[in-house]
Amino acid sequence: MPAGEPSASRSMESHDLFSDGPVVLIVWRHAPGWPVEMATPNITELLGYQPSELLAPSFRFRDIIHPDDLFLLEKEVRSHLASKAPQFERVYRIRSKNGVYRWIRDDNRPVYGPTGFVERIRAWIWDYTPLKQAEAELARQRSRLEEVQSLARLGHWEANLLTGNLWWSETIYDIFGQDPRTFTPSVEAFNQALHPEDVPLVRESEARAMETGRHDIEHRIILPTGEVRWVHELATSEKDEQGRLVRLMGTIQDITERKQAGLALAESSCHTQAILDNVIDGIITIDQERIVTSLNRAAERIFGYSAEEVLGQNVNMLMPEPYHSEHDGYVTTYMKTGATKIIGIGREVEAQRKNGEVFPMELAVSEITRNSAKMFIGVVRDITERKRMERMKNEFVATVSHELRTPLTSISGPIGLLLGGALGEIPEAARRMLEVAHKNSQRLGALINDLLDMEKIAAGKMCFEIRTQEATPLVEQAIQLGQPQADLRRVILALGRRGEGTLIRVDGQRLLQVLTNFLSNAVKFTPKEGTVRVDVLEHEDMVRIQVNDDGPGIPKDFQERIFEKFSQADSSTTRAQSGTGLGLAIAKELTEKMGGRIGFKSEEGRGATFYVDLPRMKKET
Amino acid sequence: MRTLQKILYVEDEPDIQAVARVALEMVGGFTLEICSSGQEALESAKVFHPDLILLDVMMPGMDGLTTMRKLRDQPGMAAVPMVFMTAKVQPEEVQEYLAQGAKGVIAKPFDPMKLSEEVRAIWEQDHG
Repeated sequence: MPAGEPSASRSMESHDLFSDGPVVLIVWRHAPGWPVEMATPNITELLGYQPSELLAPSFRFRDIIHPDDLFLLEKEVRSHLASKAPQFERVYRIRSKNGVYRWIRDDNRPVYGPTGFVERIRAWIWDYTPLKQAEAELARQRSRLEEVQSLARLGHWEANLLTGNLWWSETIYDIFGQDPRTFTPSVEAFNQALHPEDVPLVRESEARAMETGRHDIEHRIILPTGEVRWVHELATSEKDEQGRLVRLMGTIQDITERKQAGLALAESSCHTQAILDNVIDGIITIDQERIVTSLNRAAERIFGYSAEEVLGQNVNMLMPEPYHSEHDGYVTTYMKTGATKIIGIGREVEAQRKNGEVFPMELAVSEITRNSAKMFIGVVRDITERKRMERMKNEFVATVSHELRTPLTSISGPIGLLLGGALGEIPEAARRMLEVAHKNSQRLGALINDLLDMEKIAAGKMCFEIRTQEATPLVEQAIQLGQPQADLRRVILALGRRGEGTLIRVDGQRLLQVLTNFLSNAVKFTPKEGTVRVDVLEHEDMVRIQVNDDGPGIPKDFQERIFEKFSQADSSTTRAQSGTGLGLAIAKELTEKMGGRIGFKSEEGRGATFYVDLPRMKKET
Repeated sequence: MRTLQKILYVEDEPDIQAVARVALEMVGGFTLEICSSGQEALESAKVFHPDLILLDVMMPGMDGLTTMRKLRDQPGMAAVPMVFMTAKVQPEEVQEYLAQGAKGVIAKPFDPMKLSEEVRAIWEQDHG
């Protein structure tokens, strides 16, 4: 178009290739405001303006350019024209007729006049909005990816093997503690960051990757600050059509936290295992199929098997017959009905070592649920040695009691014969001395019996035949047994409240032992011709049998020790009142073993009341 | 009913032998033969023909239970009641003596004035 010929009509008439299609041709004069000289009709399609509107003298193209883009645009134009550029491109926004800004791109060709000045500019412009939107979307996606990678502490990298170019995503810089503005990634830089101890590991994985095409390794890196981080690297390669390796791509994830948590967990589990391995008791776990799932060192030692020999096997391999065959049945029954002889109870059982030896073992089983499956934990203790000690102790006690009784027989026998007149009359003074000797040999005999009782109770070997029975006949029997001693001191034994029909659950013989001890004490401490009264009462939900005397009562400072072994109020009492000092201690043990309580009430100088409270049974209807 | 007259007593302790001799001969009026070991008793029983045998349990050499079994195997001894007189009188021990065939158990230390009565009671129970 020749210069200086502004003509809308001419442009309208000249239908050339640009009058329609996506590219609009505009010509404007290089003058303030950039007045438009010509526009192809398809401008209407692009911006909504009629070409005639643009050609109006009042219209200035500059006015519809987005204010944010204008400054840059003007600067660009000045710079291009100053450098006499034959062509330049721009991207900017124009306000279309409906007020909406559209991105456009133009290709400008300045037209120079004969004097060398720019007269006008021809521009081909087209709609750049979709591309611009795609660009923005891409940028958004990239930033989202960076964000996700940064959150996941996961970066990615690419190496172009043809150019030797290595590219890192932002997160990798972050993981390696490097600044993207100053640091250039390189294989050397990566190798330098590798933890020296992990170098062989990484090289090995890389060598493997040459064959498998896949690099997958966890290793440590050292940051410029000296900080050590754990990373997980995954990489793969790309080949071209000729099968040449052209590109490597991979991810690096910072797994320091997970690794530390894992290491802490491993450490804690190691710690737990160390404890389990160092306890003296064997610990064995089995699943509901009775398969051994774990056992500690002590269990290996006790049974003589190594863990490998037992793990995965049925636990009955550790049991002798008949338990070996019956065990599956116990567990099945338990799973079905919950009936158990052992869970939560603990008991002595027989077990079998690898060498076939059967040995006594204490077993406690507890049940836990893991991953919704039942699991049983058995704690076992080899009690062979304890049993042997028990046997030795029993033998010792039996021997000692025999060894004590034999000379006692030789002492009490002759005294008994002399006092009984078997060897003729003896003088009164001698008789009194013999009576002292007789009384004390009797006491020694009682002491031996009490010691044996104490030992049996302590060893848990005293058997109790506990059954439900009436209290009254037992009390009557106790009174009968105490009568001779009471007669000697002319003390009256009275049965007050009889509690007729009251049922208790006791071992009758043991209760008699307790009651005769009460009566014997009461008679001893009651003044001559005094009264000892026995009552059977209901006390709370128990049955109380009490023995009351008119004696001096129990000194306050002795009350605390009264049920202790070998305790007697004072030496003078000891002398006057023979006794072993074990009677009440035994009575207390016996009572408690029968599920009862023992106690007393006393005020010094006002007698004493000893009682046992025993489990009461409901009368049968 | 046959009366109890001849008692064979097997006891290794001389002091207790002495007490038992007074208790059974002087107080009880029995004819007593005392042996100091099971072995001696096996010999003595053949000639003494006791009506009843009293045995200690713990004795050097042959113990009371073995002595009882061997005595019983001798001709004419099967029906002779055997009674243990011992300091080993824990309930399970007493059960064992009776299970082995003893007719009674007398605990040591015994009351020498009542020993004869006790022995006689056991005899009567056995022959009752």
